[in-house]
Amino acid sequence: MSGDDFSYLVSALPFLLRGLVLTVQVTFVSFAIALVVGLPVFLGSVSGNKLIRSVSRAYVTAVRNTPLLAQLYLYFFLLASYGILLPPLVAGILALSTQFSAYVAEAYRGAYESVPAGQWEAAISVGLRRWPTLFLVAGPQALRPALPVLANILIQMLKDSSVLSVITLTEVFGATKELANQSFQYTILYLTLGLLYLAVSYPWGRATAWLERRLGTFN
Amino acid sequence: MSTEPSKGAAVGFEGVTKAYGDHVVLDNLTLHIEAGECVAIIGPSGSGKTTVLRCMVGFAPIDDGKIHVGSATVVPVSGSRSERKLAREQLRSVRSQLGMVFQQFNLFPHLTALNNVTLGPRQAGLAREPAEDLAQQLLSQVGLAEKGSSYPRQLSGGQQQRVAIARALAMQPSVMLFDEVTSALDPEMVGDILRLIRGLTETSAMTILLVTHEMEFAELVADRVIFMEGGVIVEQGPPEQIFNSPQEKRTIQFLRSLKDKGG
Repeated sequence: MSGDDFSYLVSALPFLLRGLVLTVQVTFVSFAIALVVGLPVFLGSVSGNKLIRSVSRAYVTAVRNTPLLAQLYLYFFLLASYGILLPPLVAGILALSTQFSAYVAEAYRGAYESVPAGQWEAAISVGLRRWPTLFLVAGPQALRPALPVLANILIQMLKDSSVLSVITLTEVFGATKELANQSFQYTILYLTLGLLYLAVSYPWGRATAWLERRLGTFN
Repeated sequence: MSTEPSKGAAVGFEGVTKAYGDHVVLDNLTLHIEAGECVAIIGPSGSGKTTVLRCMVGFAPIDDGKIHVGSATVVPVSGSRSERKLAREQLRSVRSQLGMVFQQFNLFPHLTALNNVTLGPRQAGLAREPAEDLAQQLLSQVGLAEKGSSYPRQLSGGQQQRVAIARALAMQPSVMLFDEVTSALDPEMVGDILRLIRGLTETSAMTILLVTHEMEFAELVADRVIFMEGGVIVEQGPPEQIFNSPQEKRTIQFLRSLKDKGG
């Protein structure tokens, strides 16, 4: 890297970092919403009621099988054509959390199904009904297997939030693109962009691994 | 919830049938067990003996017939919405009288031994302190007074099974179901568990149904032994009769096959 490249990067960095902060904020807010919305979707998908079950599974199927970009345009442009104007930030968070709520719900379901049938039978045998069993027996045991899957979802969200640049949000990808269009310093900017994503997601991966060890295994 | 020893309840199977697809596991089974009686069910694997217990608890929903436990009755869950609702309510009422111990222990791995025992009583509305006192008392009874704060993974198989017995007893069941409870244990642990169960048969008034491969044990503790094969009761009677002078050819063959294996 030449001295010019380096000094350019130093001048660009504050703008990039502001973008990165927005990226992380959007990711965390959307992840939190997805964790919450995913819960009723998951509960619906394992409900004893056929109608609730099919509504919930239809939601997962519809959301998972359409591109994030399409959902983003749906919130931003399509709603706008009906007079509902969402600010880019809101539309972006909505799209991300909608898309990933389906993945989160599936993560919950996978973890739930990993709890052996014998645990349900034991709970029933000491008089527990469905909900107490879910929250006191199955839930705590599902936490550990859910964790790595949820961590992957979080990292996937971080990267996919770059899509929000198409609706004018200057999160870190949008910021990079903007700078690159002005300066033509593609190589240095996009390399830096990659490193910035890595710098954020790598510690998350480590933190998850640590948390997994902390939770340990039950058996 | 009182801490008095529970009274036994009578159990009655009336024409109970259970099939998985074309495979009939229980074939029009009729069986009456008196309150306080200890009945051992023996038979080759696939004979339907475990299914007898699983139908009582509703883990294997029955297709036809009735199972009476005390004043409640398990019936097939079918018919109109209100009939199904009624059937489920009855099932809950049956379950509330049953205690069950499993082949694989099925302890809750995320809870301590003490909390494994208190979970049921706590959910039934017992306050924390009396629930913990009850649990501590039961853990002492099964010889694990010092292990209340251990997690299942820190206990041996035999110890886990003893916790599971304490957990079942905490619900003060009138009928205890033991489903091959020594099959997953190391041989040196089997004796402990069997002694514990034998103690229960002698000191409590509970009705006890045990499915077992331990013939000597069945002979020792049971008031009546039932030999099942192919989803039907082939022969039943007092242990001395079944083991010393069985009448049915299939019973004789089964007992001989065990002897040949050195069992």
